[in-house]
Amino acid sequence: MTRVTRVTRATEPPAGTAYPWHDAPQPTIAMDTARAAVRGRRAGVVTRCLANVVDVATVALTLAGGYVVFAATRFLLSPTRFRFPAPSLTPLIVAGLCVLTVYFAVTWSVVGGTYGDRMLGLRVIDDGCARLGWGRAVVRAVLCTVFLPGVLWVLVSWENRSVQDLLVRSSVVYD
Amino acid sequence: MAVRPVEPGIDEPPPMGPSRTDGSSPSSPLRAHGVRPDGRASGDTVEAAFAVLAVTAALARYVVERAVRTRRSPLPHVSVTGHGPVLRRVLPRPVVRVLARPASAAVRALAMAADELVPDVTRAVLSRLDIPSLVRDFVPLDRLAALLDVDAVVARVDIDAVIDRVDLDAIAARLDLDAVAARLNLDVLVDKVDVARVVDRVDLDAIVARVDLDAVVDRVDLDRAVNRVDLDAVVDRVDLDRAVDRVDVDRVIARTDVAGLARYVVEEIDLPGLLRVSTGSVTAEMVRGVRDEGVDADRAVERVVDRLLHRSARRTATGLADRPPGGTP
Repeated sequence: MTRVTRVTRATEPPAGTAYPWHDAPQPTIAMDTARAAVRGRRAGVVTRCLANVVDVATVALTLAGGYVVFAATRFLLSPTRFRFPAPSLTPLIVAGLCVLTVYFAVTWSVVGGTYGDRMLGLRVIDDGCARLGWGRAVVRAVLCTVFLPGVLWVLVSWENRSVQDLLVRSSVVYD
Repeated sequence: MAVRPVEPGIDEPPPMGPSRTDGSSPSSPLRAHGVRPDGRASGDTVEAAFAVLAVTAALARYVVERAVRTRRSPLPHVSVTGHGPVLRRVLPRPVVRVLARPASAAVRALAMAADELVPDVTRAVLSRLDIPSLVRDFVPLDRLAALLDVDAVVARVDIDAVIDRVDLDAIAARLDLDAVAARLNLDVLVDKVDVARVVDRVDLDAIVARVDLDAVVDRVDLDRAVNRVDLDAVVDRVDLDRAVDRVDVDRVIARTDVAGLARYVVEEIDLPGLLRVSTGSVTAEMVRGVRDEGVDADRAVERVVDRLLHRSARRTATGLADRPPGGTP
């Protein structure tokens, strides 16, 4: 479904000569025209779930990195009494949810999408096709974090909106 | 000999020039020595008589002197004894001397007359002779010329002095070079010239060393010369392939700003952009595939759900498709 458009220069040397470099093709830039056909449409549940999985994995990696940094710091402070920290599950989950909320709010309001959204080609916009404001981004981040299954409403929504989208009047579209 | 040789003027060369039409020769010795050319018969006769007498007296004197020298006592001594004292007192002394020795006195008188007459007579005789014709008729000039040692004559000639006396400037000023050049047949002269031999004898190195090439180049209008050159024809005649084969490409590259050229090429072809495209192509392809597959999965799930929900109408999820994507208000 992809069509490759060849961009050529106006002063292209004549072909058919004994010098092959005259016939060398110009650098080609692949333009996914099929992607352009769906650009701006609200994304489906599969894509959005995959984006959330990537985001959760990203946050998990971030937490893991934070854990390593925390452990290294403790080792440097008291190497003789060093032990790997063993946080309980509840604080860990709470920390994970907090990080995920901040991550959502910052990325939606600053760049219009999380890392998972960018990877899957999604963008979070408001009704005016603009990036979310800080207030709306924070509310939507909290809602997504607290009630993550709300994304499944996309399956039954006529407009492919999740519960969070319905509450904050946002949309997740193909970019 | 008491005869004084007087040059009658015969040694003077006759004047050169066209002959006169009146029949009188300008070189006539008569005119040269005051003899009237119209010729009076009486004067000429007298002069001829004197001439004969002078020659006769000279011959007689010569014969007498020879005889006196031979006999030691040429003339008999005239004795004046008896009448001597009387005559010495009456007659003057020279007369006495003559009477005493009449032969010697006669000889002396003849000698004096000859001394007076011989030069004039000789001059008159020679003036009436055509010396050139006589020389031409009786002198063997060829034999004289054969006897003449020309080499010795030339060796005695001071050529340098002769050349110093020659006024070449005056000679050159009198030359009509235009007329000389007009009479020259240059084609014939040039055909006779062995140009190769001339060129072989020319020391071109010495000539070139003396030439001020800078001054020559300064005077040359190169622009005008170049404008007159048909460069297209010149280039057509040049074997460029052969010339390129002789080019030391390594030296050319060594003298070339390859780095600057490479930077220009990189900038011209946007190599950084190509690198970004090429390095990101793998991940981009993968991400693009995931995105496309995600879109297709979304559509498939929607169709399944809609079918389960018995929806016949399509979703309105495309409401934002008409809006500019990613636009900011």
